[in-house]
Amino acid sequence: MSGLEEQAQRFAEDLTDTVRQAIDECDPFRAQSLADGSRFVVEQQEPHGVPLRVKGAPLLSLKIKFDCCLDGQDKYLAVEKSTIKVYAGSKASGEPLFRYEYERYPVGNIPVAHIHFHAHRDAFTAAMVRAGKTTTRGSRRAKNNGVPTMSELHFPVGGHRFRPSLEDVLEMLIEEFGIDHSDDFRVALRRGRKDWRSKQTKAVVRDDPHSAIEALEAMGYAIQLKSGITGPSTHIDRLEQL
Amino acid sequence: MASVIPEIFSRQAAERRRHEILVQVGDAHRFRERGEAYELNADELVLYDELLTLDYLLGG
Repeated sequence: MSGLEEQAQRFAEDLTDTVRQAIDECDPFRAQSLADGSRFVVEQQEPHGVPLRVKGAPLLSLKIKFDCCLDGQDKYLAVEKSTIKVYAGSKASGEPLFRYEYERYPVGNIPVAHIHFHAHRDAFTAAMVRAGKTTTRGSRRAKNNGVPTMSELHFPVGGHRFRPSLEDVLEMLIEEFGIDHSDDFRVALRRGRKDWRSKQTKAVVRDDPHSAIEALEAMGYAIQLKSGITGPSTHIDRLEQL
Repeated sequence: MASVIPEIFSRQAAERRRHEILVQVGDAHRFRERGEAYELNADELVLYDELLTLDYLLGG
């Protein structure tokens, strides 16, 4: 089995385990390739999407696909494109409610990771009124006599360390709405984004020094703790929090 | 821990399957346009997703 095949297999198994541990039922993800093995597609097995149920009745369906290849070093699995689409109903069809996407090489100046909201608010409302009561927010929504609105929903965007920056929002507004801007806005925003992400990279290393050490050693570094210093711990909560 | 067995196809088999789908959907160009515009029903969407998978694997 080639390096990419093995990594794609493990990736598909990890995704399957993740979904099963969250919602109990899920057929194993598929990992498909041609014989030359230079690309893999990892996606859910259910052709109409993974069913998401409330008290056993389908409410939503989830379609997940990752287009994979080897990274620039020809060593690690890299995702060229990923889509996670949420549809109303038991079978994915027409427009999703929303979709999370990532494109390694996007066409045009779009964010490499982004969310598209398709649904008219009524489609969201229709799903929300049928939401289950097994969570705090679901239960609160069920008790509320008013009409639920899209603005109540919280869409995750990267947690503590990988959240969008102000530069991201400004660039999006300029690109998508043609907001008045300076001639060199892109240079300024990219510089600010780089500063932000560099700071966050250092913060991420402080959160999870062991993963940082593993990555650096794989790159050829030899990492040593100064004598007399206690090895740092991992901030599990920062890594796990939604 | 789930167990996944990678599915490996020959290039010829993938091209054959892509051709089958394109014949089945009729006007391939229009089908792709409808797919990009999210106008497909559930069964059409299954074919469209399979077509995109084959496109990517075949480098098209």
